[in-house]
This record gives sequence, structure tokens and C-alpha cells, in this order.
Amino acid sequence: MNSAPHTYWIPTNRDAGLPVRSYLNEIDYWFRLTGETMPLFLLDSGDADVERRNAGHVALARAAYPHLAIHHVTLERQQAVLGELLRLADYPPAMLDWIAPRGSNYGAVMNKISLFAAALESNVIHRRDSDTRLQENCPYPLEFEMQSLGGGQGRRAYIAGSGYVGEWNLDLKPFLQVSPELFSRFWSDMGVDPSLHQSIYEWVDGNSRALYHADQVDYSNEQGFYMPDAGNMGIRQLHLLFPSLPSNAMSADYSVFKMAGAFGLPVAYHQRRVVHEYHSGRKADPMPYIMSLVKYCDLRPVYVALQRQLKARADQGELRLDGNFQDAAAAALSTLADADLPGRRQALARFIDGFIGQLYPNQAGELSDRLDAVLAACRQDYRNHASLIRAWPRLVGAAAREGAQLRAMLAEGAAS
Amino acid sequence: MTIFSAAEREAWERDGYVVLRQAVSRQKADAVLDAMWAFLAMDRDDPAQWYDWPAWHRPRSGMVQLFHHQSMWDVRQEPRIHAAFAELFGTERLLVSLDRLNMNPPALAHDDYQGNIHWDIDPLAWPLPLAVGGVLCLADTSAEQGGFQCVPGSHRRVAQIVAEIARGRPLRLPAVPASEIVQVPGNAGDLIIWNVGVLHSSSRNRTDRPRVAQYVTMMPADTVPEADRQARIGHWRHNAPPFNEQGFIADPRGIEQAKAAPAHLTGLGRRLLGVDAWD
Repeated sequence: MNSAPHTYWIPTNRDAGLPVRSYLNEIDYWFRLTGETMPLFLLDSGDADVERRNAGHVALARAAYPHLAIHHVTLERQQAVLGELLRLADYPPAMLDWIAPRGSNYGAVMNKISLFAAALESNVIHRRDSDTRLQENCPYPLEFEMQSLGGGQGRRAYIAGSGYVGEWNLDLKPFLQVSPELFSRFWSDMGVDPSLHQSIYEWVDGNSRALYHADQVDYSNEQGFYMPDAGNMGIRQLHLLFPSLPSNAMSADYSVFKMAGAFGLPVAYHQRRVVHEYHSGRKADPMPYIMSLVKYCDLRPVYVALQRQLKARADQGELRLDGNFQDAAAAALSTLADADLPGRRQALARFIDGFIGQLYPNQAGELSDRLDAVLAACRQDYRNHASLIRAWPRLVGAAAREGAQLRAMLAEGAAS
Repeated sequence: MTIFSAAEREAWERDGYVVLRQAVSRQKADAVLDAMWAFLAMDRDDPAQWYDWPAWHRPRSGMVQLFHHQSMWDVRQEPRIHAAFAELFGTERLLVSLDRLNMNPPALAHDDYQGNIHWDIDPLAWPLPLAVGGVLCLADTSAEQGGFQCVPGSHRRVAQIVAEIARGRPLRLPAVPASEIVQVPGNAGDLIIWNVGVLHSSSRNRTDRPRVAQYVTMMPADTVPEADRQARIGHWRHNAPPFNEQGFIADPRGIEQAKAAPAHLTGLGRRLLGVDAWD
């Protein structure tokens, strides 16, 4: 497998036939427009049955798009490649839990994509999620991402993306079915001023209904930070600089964005939304989902504080993206992990009892009984993130240096 | 060693179809023909009989509802055909279709089949399904002989073609200028493989010989649900007609079902049917 300046990623743990069929349209379009082949990697973390079906979908796709490079990489192969990378960089195998664990982990998804991309010498990554597909009668998001991230003149964006139409991407839908008022309670618990709740609702709800009709691009600036959804975006360079919080906390895979926001890096938000489909049946065991919300409750103030600290130092000229950023971010995060523990414990208790308990009273009771353990788990997540931030330059460097070997291992997995 | 040349692969990508030369031997193809003429109770050398279809048969579809003759299974389990599909799909883990035959006699004034360029897929489906079709020439078939015709490259512009279809016309049957349609000739034993996004059909037979063919394609085994795999085995075991979704009537005489045993399968054939796993 050759290196590729742009790579396209669909992480999944479910049958991905529909998104693969859908997104190949935009990769094929780009090839026809420019002659550039952009490899697609279906990173499969599903069980054996899911793996088997996805292998079949990829085989069909290869026949239908023989000119494109389409790779199905099972979790076993992902772990083999990343395990080898850890060995080469002289980090312990246990670090794999922060990068490519079995089971759902929002932050780890971005981390493994980033390190694979480093091995592929891929300066720009494009990500789509497997519960989404292209919107009909809408120009391709990839085209915008390429124009915005991939070349051209002047000040280029570091992130280009958009949101979803269809089912809400914010994972509050089960609670809203209990009571619409819970939307406001959620954001109150997150420390968001009540005067903003309605505009947040309108933003989410409006996006969910906003079928494409014309291109309009917004750029993040001092007044507003446009955050594309993780399943509809491209990133330039940042993935090689920052790892994501290795946690299954809701929004953990957005931590790269948040750090980018600290530096005021340009983020381009377009209107080419993809269709999001909610899988209501996926939460047979609700506890992982509940924990992702609970962890978000603690994560949000910690990372807002981190962003503020970094921004203040960057504004003073003390931080440079290509220099001392990682050490500074890791140090700040280590401190914040242990800051204001009584206040954070109280906030968690309020959220678990007042919000989670509205829909999941049994689980809320269980979590309330082990509140200290929950908080300890959150703190450990941040410490892990700090460690990973420190390790990131060496990991990325090793991935680039040993790229040929790692790419060969990745390709071996692609032959399944 | 690869089956398709670089030029053939380029043509597959560009045009959406490719011809696998000598997919099976002439002898194997001719054995299928013997079975077909016997099934139809027609003399292959008597043109007068070529239009005398069984009463139960749907008029002028050209489809012959024979599925399980040993000769047809010998085609399905031909290693070269499997190797070709394996190359296209990038995996050898495939299942073979259980499909029928086609006999398209020369056009006459009272029996003038024109061909109907169509899609096998719903062109409004989004995203389009991915699949591959295949048809084997059982005899030498000239470009005028009523064989496979298609609109090269149409798989790359499905939405554009649909947008241009006149109101009221079925979407699966767009009116295509004759200049865009290509007749694809083949020798006995050649297999024409096409992307299902390509507009295609059999064509008007302007010669004095019938066009004869067997449909055979393959699909990744991993895309076939377990219930379907079991059903396929049942169809083979009982020599039962597998399809009826297109309205083709099964042979009411039960000629195939009356056979005492199923067709013999090779090791490859057992995998391609789904009896044995690929692992």
C-alpha cells in the first residue's frame, strides 16, 4: 500500500453496507473530477458476524469501483498494526486501550484514525460515520473539504465539515421522549446559561431539518465557534498534533476541535449535511450510553477550562502549535483533572439524580451509590489523555518513520 | 496470474461490462444446449419449432425455466468463472447464482422481439445497490443475433439518465438513442459480466439462428443471509426452481423435481452453493 496525502475513513461496529455504498459516490466523483484516488478504510470493530457482512460489502464495492482503493480492516488487524507501532515507539502495549480498544470508545476512534493516517503520510483525513449516508440532491461534502483543506492559496481551514439532517445527532433523544423540558435541564447541568438553551435547541433542531438548498460557509472566529459533527468532516494536520480524549465520554472525539479552538484556527462550516439515522435498538444495555453522558457532564467544564487556559497563553504568545503545545496542554490537563473535586462531585450527583434518573432510575441509583468511583474514572480519563498528548509526537513520528512496514500490515488486513 | 488484462479491467471500470473469453469450453456450453432443447421439446435445427413455446410459458420472454441440469451446474462450478469473479470482487469467498437460460429466436413479422433496454435495479434507490450480472454464450453469437446489448458507461450516470426520462415512462426502461447502444458478440463459452448499474437487455435477433445463453453470476458469500443460503441448498437438493420474483412461471410438468438426485457438485461447487463454508 502506498502513502496517500488524503485518506477517507469510516469507523464502524455495525453493518456498514449502506454508508459504504453511499460514500463511494463522492470518492468516485472526486476521482473523476481530478484523477486522484483517495483510499477508503472501513475500520471495523464489530463482532464476527458484522465483520463477515462488511467483508462482503467491501467485495461488492471493489467490483463496482475497480479503480478505487477500498480497504476493510478488522479490529484484530488494527490492533496488530497499532501494537507494532507502540512497540516501535517503545510504549507499553496497554496503551492500546487508548487507541483501539474492543468496544465503543468515541475518543479512541479518532486516535487510531490519526495514527493510521500518520503511517500513510496522510496530512488530511476525511471521516464519515457508519450511521450516516449522503443526502440526495446535495453536492458532495468531500468536494468542499478538498477545496477547503486540500490545497489552494491563502489561509486554509484546519477543519471543514458540517452536521446532519435526519435524526438528532445529540444523544438526548430518549430523554426528550420523556419530556421536552429535559433538554433545558441537561444544558443547565452542563453550566450553560438558560438564555442560550432555546438557541441551542433551534440550532440542533434546525440542522436536523435543513435539507440542502445552497452553499453557505461560516468560519469560526472570536465570536462563534462552528463545530462540525465528527461524522461529516475533514481535518488537516491537527490529527498529527493532538490526540483525542481516550474515553467513551460523549464528545470525546471533539477534543481535537476544542484544542484547535484555543488557537483560533480556521474551521469552515458548510451546508452539505449528511443524513443521520438513529438506531434506537442499539442500547439494549443502557449503561455505556448513560456513562457517556455522565462523563460528558464532568468533561465539559474541565475542557472548557483547558481551552481557556491554552487560549490565554496562546494569546500571550507563550504557546506554539509546532513547538511546546503538547507539554503545556498535558500539564494543564493534569492539574485540571484534580481541580474542584467537591464542586464536580456535586455537579455529577445533581446530573445523575435530576437528569439520568428521569429515564433510568435504577441505573441512576446505582451510579449515585458509587459517585466517587465515577469521578475517579473521569479523572483517570484526563490523566490518560495528558499522557497520550505527551506521547503523541513520538507516536506520530514513529508511525511516519516506519510507515512502509505499518502500511504493509494494514494492507494485509485489507485483503480479508 | 490474473484473469483480466489491464485493458479489460479498464474497460470494466469505464464501460461497466467485460467479456471473459472461453469461460467454459464449447463442449460444456453445448451440453447445456442439449439440455435446453430437450426441456423445450424443440429441435435445435428446425426453425419452425423455435416459436412453439410450451403453453404454460410466458409469451416471448425468451426465458427458459431450467435450473438444475448437471450441465448447468458444471458451468456454475467452472474454476475459471470463479477465478474471474474472485478477481473482480477481491475475494474467493463467493456464492454462485441459481439462474435460468435464455433462447431468443430470430425476429419474424409475427414474433418480433425488439429488446427492452432496462436496469435490473431501482434507479431511484439511493445509494444504488452494488451487484454484478453475467450471461454465458452457449453458441457463437454475432452482434446481430439477439444477444447482450448495453449502454456502456451508463452505470456512471444513472441519475442523469433518470432525470431525462419522459414523464409517464417507467424509470427502469429509459428510452435510449440507438447510437448509444452497443451489441456485444461472443463465442460459445464466453461470459459477459456487467455492473448492474449498466442499462442492458437482450436484443433483436436479425439472423437466422437463435441466441442461446445461460445466466450465471456470483456474489460475495458474506452478503447472503443465512436463510437464503439454506434455501439455496434446498433448491439444489430438490431440483426446485429458485426464483419467481420476476413473474416467470415455474415448469408445471415438474420435470426437474422428478429427478432422483441433485446435480453432482465438486468441492468448489459445494462452496459456491453454500453447502461447505469457505473458511
